Amino acid sequence: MEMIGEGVKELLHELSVLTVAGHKVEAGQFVLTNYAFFLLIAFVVTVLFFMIGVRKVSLVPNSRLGSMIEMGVEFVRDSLCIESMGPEGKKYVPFIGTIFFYVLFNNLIGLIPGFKPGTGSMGTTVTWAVLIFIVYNAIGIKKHGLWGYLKSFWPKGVAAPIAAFVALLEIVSQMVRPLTLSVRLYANMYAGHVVLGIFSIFTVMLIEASGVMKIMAVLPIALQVVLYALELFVAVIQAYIFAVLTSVYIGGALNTH
Amino acid sequence: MLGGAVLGAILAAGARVSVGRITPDDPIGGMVQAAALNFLVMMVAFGSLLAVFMFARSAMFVFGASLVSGFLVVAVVWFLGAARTQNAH
Repeated sequence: MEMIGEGVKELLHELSVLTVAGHKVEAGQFVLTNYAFFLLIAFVVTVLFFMIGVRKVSLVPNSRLGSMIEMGVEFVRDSLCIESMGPEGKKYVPFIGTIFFYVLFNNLIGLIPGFKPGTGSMGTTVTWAVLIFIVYNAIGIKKHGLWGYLKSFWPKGVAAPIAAFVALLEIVSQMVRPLTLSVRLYANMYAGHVVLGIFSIFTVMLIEASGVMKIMAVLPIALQVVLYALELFVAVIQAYIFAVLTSVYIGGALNTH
Repeated sequence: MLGGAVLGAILAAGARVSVGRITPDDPIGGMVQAAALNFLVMMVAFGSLLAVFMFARSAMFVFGASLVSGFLVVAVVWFLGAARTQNAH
């Protein structure tokens, strides 16, 4: 029972410090956490995946992996960038593509038993969301000028008090975006990880129980398999949502009304 | 340890075969078959972990780690095979 308690504590402790042979991995005041470690792993895997996949670039992909990467990039270009931003979107394919694939690899790596999703830490997702907030506002200001961009929050053709109210709402909704963008990804990944962990702990509890309860352990195991499939779906969907919202925000900053 | 790695490799092969069922002729039916087979693969993995947990608990960590490693090694080998350049005929 004590082991289960420890397991739950470890599961809910979001930022457990990574220890190698009983020692913290630290550099000055910075200490490497479990989530930061898997964030780095995902970074290496993402870079390696694309480096190996596009080693010998040709107009027509000459490897199965090359074809797969081309499909992925085309998806980012057509369905995420051009769809949300119009023809101007092509310029932002590297940015959106990096976000999409890095988030995707982080989410998927978290599904390997014993691994954690780098995106399951609020510090990571908030940093990305704030960065995206700065980027899309900078894009809007660059295109329309500071005054022109600010003016876009003020709706045209309505009475001043209503326009002021709408402008206020618009500013609030802009300010909330980093929070919603980050919490959506973090909460989904962290909660998914915790749910899978809780079911594992639940299984252990049933096995350690006596009599009929032991046999009942089959149920959480079957459910665990279904939950894994669901988490796989969530991992892909959340990466898509994060990237598509980034595209929509940039598109909104580019095409103000 | 070897048992876990071998089982991991076999399960990776099972997952690979199941995905091969998705063909352009019958993508939906193939998806259903692939999902069912992958479900079976997962059940075997969980079942084996359960068996080790119940009968040889001290070997649980080593078995689990080697199971995952065996699966990942085979997956990486296939990944590298997919990255190999194919000559057009």
